[in-house]
Amino acid sequence: MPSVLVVEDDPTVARLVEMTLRFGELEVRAVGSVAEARDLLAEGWDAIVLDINLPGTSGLELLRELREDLDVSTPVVMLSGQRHDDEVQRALAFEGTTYVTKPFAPEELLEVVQAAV
Amino acid sequence: MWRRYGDAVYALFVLGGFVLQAAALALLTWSFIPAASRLFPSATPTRALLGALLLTTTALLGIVGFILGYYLIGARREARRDAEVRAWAERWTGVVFGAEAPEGPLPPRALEGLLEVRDKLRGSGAQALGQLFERYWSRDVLIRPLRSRRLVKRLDALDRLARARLASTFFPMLHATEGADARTRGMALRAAARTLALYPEGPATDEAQDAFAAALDDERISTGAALETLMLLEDGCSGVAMRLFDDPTPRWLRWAAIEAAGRLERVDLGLSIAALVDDLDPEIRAAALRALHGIRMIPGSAEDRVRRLLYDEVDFVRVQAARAAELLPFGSIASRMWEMLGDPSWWVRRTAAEVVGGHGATGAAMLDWAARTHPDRYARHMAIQFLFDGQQIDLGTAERLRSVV
Repeated sequence: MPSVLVVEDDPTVARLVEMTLRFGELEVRAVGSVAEARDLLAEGWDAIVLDINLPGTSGLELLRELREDLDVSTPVVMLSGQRHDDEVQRALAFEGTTYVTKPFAPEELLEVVQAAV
Repeated sequence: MWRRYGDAVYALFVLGGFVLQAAALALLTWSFIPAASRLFPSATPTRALLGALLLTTTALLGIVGFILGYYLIGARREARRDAEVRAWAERWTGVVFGAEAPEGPLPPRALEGLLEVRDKLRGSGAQALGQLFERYWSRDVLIRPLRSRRLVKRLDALDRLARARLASTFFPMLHATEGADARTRGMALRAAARTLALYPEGPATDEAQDAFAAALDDERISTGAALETLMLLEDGCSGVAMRLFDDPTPRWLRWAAIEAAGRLERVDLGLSIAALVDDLDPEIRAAALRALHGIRMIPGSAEDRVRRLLYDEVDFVRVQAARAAELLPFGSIASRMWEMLGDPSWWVRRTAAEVVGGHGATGAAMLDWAARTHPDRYARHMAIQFLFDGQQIDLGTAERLRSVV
């Protein structure tokens, strides 16, 4: 079963994402911060769902670390409240990155993540 | 009264401050009593001073007690409320994914939890929660507080309505935009925009978009607020923006509609926006050109008009025309870009350099050529500066070229 790491600080959104992905028969682990996510990166995820606006270190910064410092090519699905945000555009410049806007449709998120894994 | 951070320190500070004040007052009173007794041998002044001291101390302690009690009770109530809302949000999340719906009637926190989840969803999930709302509550629960005389209640109601985004509450929300209070009007517009963004497809949408466009046409709304509201419409922006593109919409609102369409990349509005590049108002021409650049598309029928605007008499229109012209074949704009490198406006020269520089090796070669041979010295300076900023030439080369020009 493909596994997905969810990094999202809003507990309601995290729970919704978690349940959406479980509904699509994916194994999910949700954490609320970049620090917690860093501890789990070595576990070899098939995809990462990453909120762009996280407290402290942003999702974009973690994505940059993944791609540039750690050379990790795991597909990343960014969650953003603003489709036309500059940060989304910068995130999309990294290979293997897609995005879903919040509020999100569960079926759309599932489709995007399933295509990524 | 309380801050987001450091409220415990603030409470201690207030407590310390009041205790010190009470102590200082007691000391002062105590030191005055002997002198007062000598001046007034009867015991009345001493009693009055002691009474005043007691009263002041009691008042100060009362205020401290209230502040600390308010903090403790308020924080506990808030934490309990949040926990209840979270529990209900969790429960509604389960219902969206197939768990059994609870039996009614439900407590107020259940509604808060439902709104919390609905606020985060679109599509089938949001639809399912909308149906659950109608099963347990009537829309009056959300609308009634809008009629309250208390501003806080009205704003709370609008916050709930913005999260609920129910089509059935759209027109009452719009009605609230007619009120006298600017805060209520602004929040009502934003709540209505969020609702319209998820409006179900159908003939009712046309009516709602008409009404929304009419509500925006209000001189009490600032251009920035109108733009922000239009941006909230997201995919629903096109229908409203189309209604605002034409006369007699006021100029500021047309500008906001064009700007929003460009920022939201509404490709479906490309033709309508292209029709506005010939507007008599330079602000509208510039906005239309910027929007075409935003949607990354210039309709074939508008290509010549965009090229003509590279010669517009207004400099900021020429800037936007140059940016939009980036989307045209380079061969069709290259000679004009060469001329624009020597434009009297620094902004036009800089934009022309950016557009030329954005065309890879061909653009770089043209800038290099301009740096050495352009007949206009300002054009040569701009080309040198642009190449230097883009690290295409080093400082030594830049200085050598500058000394020549």
